[in-house]
Amino acid sequence: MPSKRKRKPLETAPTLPPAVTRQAPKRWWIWWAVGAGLVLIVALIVAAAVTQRSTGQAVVATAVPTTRIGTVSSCRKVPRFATAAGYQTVNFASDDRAIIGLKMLDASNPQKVYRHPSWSMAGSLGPILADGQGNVFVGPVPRINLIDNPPEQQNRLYKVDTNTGVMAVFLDLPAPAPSSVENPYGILGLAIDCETNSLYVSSVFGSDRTTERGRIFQINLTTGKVAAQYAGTDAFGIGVYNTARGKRLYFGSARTPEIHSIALDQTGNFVGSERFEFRISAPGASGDDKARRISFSEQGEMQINGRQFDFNMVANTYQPRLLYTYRYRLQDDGWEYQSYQVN
Amino acid sequence: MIFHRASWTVVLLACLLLVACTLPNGPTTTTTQVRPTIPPTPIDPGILGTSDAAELRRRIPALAERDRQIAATLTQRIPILALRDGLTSEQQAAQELAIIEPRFYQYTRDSRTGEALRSEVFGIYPTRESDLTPATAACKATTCYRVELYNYALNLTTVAVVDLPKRQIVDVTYLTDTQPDIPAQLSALAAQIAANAPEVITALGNTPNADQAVMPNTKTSLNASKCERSKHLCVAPTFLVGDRALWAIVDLTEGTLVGARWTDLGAYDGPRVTEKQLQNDIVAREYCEKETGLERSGWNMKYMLTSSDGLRISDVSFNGQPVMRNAKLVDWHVTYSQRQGFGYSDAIGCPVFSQAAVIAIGPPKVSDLQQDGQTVGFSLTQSYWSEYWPQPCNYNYEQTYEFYTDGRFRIKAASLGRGCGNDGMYRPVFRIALAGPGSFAQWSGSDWQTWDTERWALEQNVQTTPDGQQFRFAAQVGGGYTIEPGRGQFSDGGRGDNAYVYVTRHDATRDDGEADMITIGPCCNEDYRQGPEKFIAANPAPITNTELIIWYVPQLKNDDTPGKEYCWANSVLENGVYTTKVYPCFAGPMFVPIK
Repeated sequence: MPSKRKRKPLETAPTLPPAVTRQAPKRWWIWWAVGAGLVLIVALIVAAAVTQRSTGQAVVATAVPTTRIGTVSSCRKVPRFATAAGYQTVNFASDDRAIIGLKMLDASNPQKVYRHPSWSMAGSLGPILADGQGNVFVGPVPRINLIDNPPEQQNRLYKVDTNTGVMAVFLDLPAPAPSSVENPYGILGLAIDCETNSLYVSSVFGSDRTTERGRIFQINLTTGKVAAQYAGTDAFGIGVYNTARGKRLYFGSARTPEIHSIALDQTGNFVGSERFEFRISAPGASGDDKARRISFSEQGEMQINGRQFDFNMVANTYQPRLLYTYRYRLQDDGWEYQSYQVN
Repeated sequence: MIFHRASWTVVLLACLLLVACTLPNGPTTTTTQVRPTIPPTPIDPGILGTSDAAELRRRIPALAERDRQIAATLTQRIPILALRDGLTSEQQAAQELAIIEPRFYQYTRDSRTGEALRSEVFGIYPTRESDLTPATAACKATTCYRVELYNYALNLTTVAVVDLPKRQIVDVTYLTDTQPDIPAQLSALAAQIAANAPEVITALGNTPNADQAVMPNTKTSLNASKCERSKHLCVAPTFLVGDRALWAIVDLTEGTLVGARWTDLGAYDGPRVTEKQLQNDIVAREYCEKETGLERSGWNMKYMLTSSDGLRISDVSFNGQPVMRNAKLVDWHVTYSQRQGFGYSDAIGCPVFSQAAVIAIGPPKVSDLQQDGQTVGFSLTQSYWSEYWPQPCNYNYEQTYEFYTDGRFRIKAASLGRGCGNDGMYRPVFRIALAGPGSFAQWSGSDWQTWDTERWALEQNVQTTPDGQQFRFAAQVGGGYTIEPGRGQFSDGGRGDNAYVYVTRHDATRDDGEADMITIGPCCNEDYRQGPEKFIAANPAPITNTELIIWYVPQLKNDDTPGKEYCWANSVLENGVYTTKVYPCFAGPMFVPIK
């Protein structure tokens, strides 16, 4: 099995010295100081890189301290085209067995259902998330079979434009390996951090039974480009939360019933080492549910939508909705089990 | 000073070089952080139980005696197996009061037929403070007992709270998908089953004493999971050996061993070993990652489970002569006539990391083929199922290869229901690549007419020889096979294939399905457009004396009419628990050697 251990790039590039200009001889000591400083910086950088290579651990960094504990997704807006069309309480759904793709519903009027012709272009869909402009991002997720979801296209992120309602490919995310017959999936989770204007996308594209090649992407919504990646993890549901000790991205493993997290800096970039948070478990639960969706409430709760997932195409026709709730624990920056509901 | 400056220039350049070397490659706007690699832990996937239930009963008299008790209980007016051993008089009284309470025995019979469901009292405990609810608050000041009844058929726990001094039932509650703690005698029985199972004896290297088992009353996982697939009551007697533990999962509903797995005591902090985990890991490790050789009755071949094409056999030969390059089952297309365009294209294959919608949960089975008391060959069978089968919209398929000692072979498959309705049409897509170049022909009524180019035909439009043959593959080197489609003559319940038969030229330079195929076609085409036609070009290629691929797509209409069930499954009561009665619709052609 090829090693996944790779050299971790620096999180921040050192500032290069200004261009050297001729100086008066009497100021030679300045050169000594500049030189010594440079040597020190380089030594630190090299030491950090060597340490990382030898231990395989990311350099420990501190997440950006936050003063406000809580959610970061409140900026999400209703698409302008939906408002213009008179939709009051807008819901998007991608789980209709009879319809391929996306549909928009008005919760205040169940008869009101809208589908733009472009909304079936990606086949069956999974995660749906609106941004602060009302653009709606969706990821393809095959259901039952691959006729409408060719494996090689499962790493494409789509955007429904807030003004026009037209769906189009937003980004074809970089893949670490080609899709394989062992794994028909790509994008599995979406999350937004309004404070850094970042969209996070989890993908398991290219992973197989023996090698975890998934990635979590940070996409800068201002530039529309991938700003950072956290590689080597198969994440399912993801969510960002401002903890007492900084901003963290929480993610459920697609392989195990576990929640992990990684710190984010002030730009939303990944910093520090991954942290195991807890195993998803509850009296009456299967003990093998994966975190399909992660969301946070203003009351400091993490809500996990669980489901069975074994990287196959088994339909969950009769699987009930499983909702696990955990509460944030200020004293140790952890999470405490609250409840488990089967709907 | 000039010397100093020169030196520092060198140092500066060196520093810049080092800095550059430590910067990431590619665009500097994107940073990639790589998760530290966690070395994969090699886990022994364990072993699945294959023990004969009858043999276990011969070894364990208590198990046979329990069967008799259960059978006798099912004939009682109130079919509840009471707890007997070691009860105090108060416990005895509480149990007696509970058992005659209608709310307590409310669910001990099938609501439609009135047949008895297997129910057993598992525990009788004095109520504790934590048990009390507003309904049972009176128990705070008196002596109450909690009587727990487990219903094996419904996986239901019924709890009665009995006020003993008043001889009253204070409350009755029902907990669905819940199993109470099992009584001591069932724990002991589980330990005996584990200790006597050949798989456990083999794993331990000796016959353990049942007393060596620890944690016998530990359910294999938390309540609702249990034996997730069989939905039976399972516990895991565990044998400690050094720093390892052998988990033996025992099915107390059937009185059999589900399987066993070693775990490390120190490092093991994962979820408990369960039926599903054991099945998935063993099938994936043993049959999805490697090929298995099979040599029997003059036949030689390899087989393995694919991601989406079922059980694939390859390099098949008979008495040293090549027969097939490979064969597999690419798709199941299921369409429902009463709903236009509604149906599914199901792939079958490996249980995890696969494109299969209906998965293998057990290993392939090799069995003797018997005819008139004689062994005439052997079969290789793989079953696939949906997690919630036989509930509606869940599926179960069986794929079988039969090999006969006279050189015949048959490739067949069946749906075992139950699907999304009684108006279903199943169309399995077989891909059969015979060995070596040859020519394909159909019977015209008087002779064999060779197919010159790639094409398809519907069986009902092709003549049949007096002995039931419709097609012929004539090998270029001589010999070959005639092909006898199913018309209900194979004594396996099949009622006829009426298959679409396609022949395409094998072209190693294109992907014609030799490797694992993604879904080949849509669910709901009612005609020849089942997928293989896409390999027939607008100008069909010549196929005389070439390597050929035969695609065989039977059409099987399901039926739920009582007495005529086909491609169907029903839940039936057997010994007080629900089991599934299946009505398979086998289809597939027999290949008969040309003499």
